[in-house]
Amino acid sequence: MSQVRKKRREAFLLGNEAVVEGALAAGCTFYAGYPITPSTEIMETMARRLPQLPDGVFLQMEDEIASMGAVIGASLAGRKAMTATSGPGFSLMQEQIGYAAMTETPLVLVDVMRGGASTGLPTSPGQGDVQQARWGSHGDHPILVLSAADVPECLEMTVTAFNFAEKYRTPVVLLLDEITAHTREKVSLPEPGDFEVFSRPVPTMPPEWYKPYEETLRGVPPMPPLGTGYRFHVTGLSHDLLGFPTSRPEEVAALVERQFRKIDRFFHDVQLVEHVMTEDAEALVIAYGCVARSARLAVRQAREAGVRAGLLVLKTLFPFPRSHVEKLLRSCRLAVVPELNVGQISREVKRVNEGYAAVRTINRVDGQIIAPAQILKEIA
Amino acid sequence: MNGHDMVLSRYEIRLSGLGGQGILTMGRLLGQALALHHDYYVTQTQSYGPEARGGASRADLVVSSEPISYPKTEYLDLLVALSQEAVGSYAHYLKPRGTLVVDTGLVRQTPSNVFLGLPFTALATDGLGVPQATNVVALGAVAWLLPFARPEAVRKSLKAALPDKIRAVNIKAFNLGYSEAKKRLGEPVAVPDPTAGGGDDERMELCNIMADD
Amino acid sequence: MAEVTQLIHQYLRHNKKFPLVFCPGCGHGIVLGSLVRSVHALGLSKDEVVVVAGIGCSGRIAAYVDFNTVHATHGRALTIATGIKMANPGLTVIAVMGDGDAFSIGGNHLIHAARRNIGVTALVLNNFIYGMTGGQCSSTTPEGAYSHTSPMGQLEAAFDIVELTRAAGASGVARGTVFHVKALDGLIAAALSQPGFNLVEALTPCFTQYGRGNGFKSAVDMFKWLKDKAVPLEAYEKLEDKAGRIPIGVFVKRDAPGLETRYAAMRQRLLEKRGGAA
Repeated sequence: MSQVRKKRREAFLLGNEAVVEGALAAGCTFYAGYPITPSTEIMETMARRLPQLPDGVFLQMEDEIASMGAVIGASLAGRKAMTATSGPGFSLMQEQIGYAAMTETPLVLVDVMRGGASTGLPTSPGQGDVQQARWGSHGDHPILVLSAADVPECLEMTVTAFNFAEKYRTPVVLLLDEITAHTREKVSLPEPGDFEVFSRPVPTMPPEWYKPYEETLRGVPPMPPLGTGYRFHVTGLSHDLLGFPTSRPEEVAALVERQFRKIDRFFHDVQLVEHVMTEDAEALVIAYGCVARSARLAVRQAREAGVRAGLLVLKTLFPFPRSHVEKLLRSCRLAVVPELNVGQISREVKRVNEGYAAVRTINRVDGQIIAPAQILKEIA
Repeated sequence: MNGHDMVLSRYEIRLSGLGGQGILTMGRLLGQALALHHDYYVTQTQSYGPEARGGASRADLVVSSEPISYPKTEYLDLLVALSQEAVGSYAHYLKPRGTLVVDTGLVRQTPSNVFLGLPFTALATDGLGVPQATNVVALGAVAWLLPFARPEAVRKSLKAALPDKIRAVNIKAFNLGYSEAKKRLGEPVAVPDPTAGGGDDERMELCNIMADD
Repeated sequence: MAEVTQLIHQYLRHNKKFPLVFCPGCGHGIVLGSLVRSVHALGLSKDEVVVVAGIGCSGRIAAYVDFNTVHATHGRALTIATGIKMANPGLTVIAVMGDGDAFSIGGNHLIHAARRNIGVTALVLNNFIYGMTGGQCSSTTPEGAYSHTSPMGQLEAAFDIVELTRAAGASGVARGTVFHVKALDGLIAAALSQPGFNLVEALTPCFTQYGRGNGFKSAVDMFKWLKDKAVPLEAYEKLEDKAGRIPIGVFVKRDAPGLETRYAAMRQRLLEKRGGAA
């Protein structure tokens, strides 16, 4: 058998390893982190890969707070930078996430969710960090939260996370779970040009005209790397257009309003979902992460049994893809939201439901995955 | 004979034993061979205790001709158990006509007398003088027993994954496991025909067991 | 005076409203001056200097200087500085912190920055107190001193910054005061020119939050206290009675390469190895 087609490079990777492939394809050259199960393979792979790049930097920091600090610093210096962690480390990172949101510093944070609160179940899956990813840092701030359900998607969504971070100058959280992170599957390794890659807008005006937090058409001000002649001030304090602290109500309100608007106006771009047989669905499953895989099998089995079942996979968790969900809730009889927590996305579904459909939840917090049969029982 | 192209619908394998027996490596090597050098979809998941040595360890594979939705095993077609504890914990996840393969040197008791056995540890220790190669001897046997597996593909994945220093001895271990299995375990196992039907009810019932445990 | 005016115009931000936020009698403005004079003396371009400041009175220094400035989260200035230096080793990165910032909430980052010897200069303004939040004790508040959170006198011992940073492996460690300004200029300039992690502790009085509650009659009184108590290191070592005296000067001068340099060398080795294999 002769092979004329150029064969794509393929590898049998863990979800965590696929994250690294995605990050490198997106142009990431900086990683700082602190080891924590079940995210550690991301860090270990980065430790091997980044020093091989001409300008790659890998740092093991003293804790997760420091990791986020280093990532923020690298991003300010113009790098595409990321870190990865799990629940306990994610909690420690929250203050710095708020700082990144306030200073509009692009970065990617992968949180591989494990089971339980506190130290919980380090080697078991969970989805308990969903609301923390949205509201974990104090104060009102915009943030993007994405998820991935299988290994190829880990790669793809990491690229998307970097693109969104750069395009919207915002921290982006990619939520994985222990199962997705620790499943091995075949992945096509990305070749240059496979993905559209975005980089943050940089100023084109001379430094003396540059106002670092000025309103722009998209609401995203250009961002020069430190040391390129645009000497401006970066602060976590509420700031004016020049970046200096202010407490004047009209300036503070304008800042917060622009920070939200820059993402709100682009819901169509950032709210990613996948429809699986939803057109005529009477029984709808709304799921994300590893549970979406169980749901996929359950929905197929339900269809085989004659039930008009459908699945909406949420790839973007926040901003919550309201318009997609709302539309389906109006046409289905029943919506089932299975998740590995006590009901963190189902809250959002119920919030937008307004009595259209019956919303049922399946919650599991014992460190075990929700099996397809459990979902099938609810929809069939 | 083995190495046929076959249509598979969720063929589920569990490799199990103790931490330190190289179960996870075995899972990765088998998965890599089936995913990259055969035209199958494969998901490989694992479970291990916090201990690096001595705790329970297992690697699960789902092999299918179609994209795999649920990545974990539900109900096993093949269980390889390299410890008594693994037999006790996992034998009841086998399908009624599933295959149990044990290390006869380490497993004293099986739930029934329907099982296949080879003394993997003894083969590696006495045959090769390398007890650490037990997992690869077992991998050789698995490569024989899976009718859809091509041994040269597994060898390829083995060669790619191992450093020079230990490559030769592991290939030897693999060949030993393969030939011993061929000699002593008979023909490769029968694989359920996905077109035969009737499988769904069976799955439903057994899924319920899983969901309750 | 003309020289001072020139430095003000060259290095302070025109669009930033003065006067400074600091209280009358505060020493922070003097450290700010020292920093500007050191950068000027070394002939560094404003574009290549990055000041990362923490939270507190000292943190406000960043807003006034016309460099690349980052006003970080409390205690984390060194972490951001580390990221910046590793991302672009060509930049001169200065972390300006207070005692609460550097030694209390950020103590872990300090010892690790010193251990990994990252090429960052830490300028710590030690006024023995949390000033901005209204006068609570810090990890450098002397034993027995009064503050709003040690109203009966501080029971805990204070950190010796010099010994702490020396033990953690810093390339350079120095201490100066805002009374000995010329010497402080020199210490900061020397720290900026030496590779690796360099720490300069600048003792600076806080009359408002510390002095008033601890027996000082005025800010001037506190400057006098600095003048009396601080002794150059060589003289300090010859003192028979060291009690209550504070040694100033350079304590550690190792001139060891910074992490960024060692990292670049490792990358280069890997590159050559790959080139050789191909």
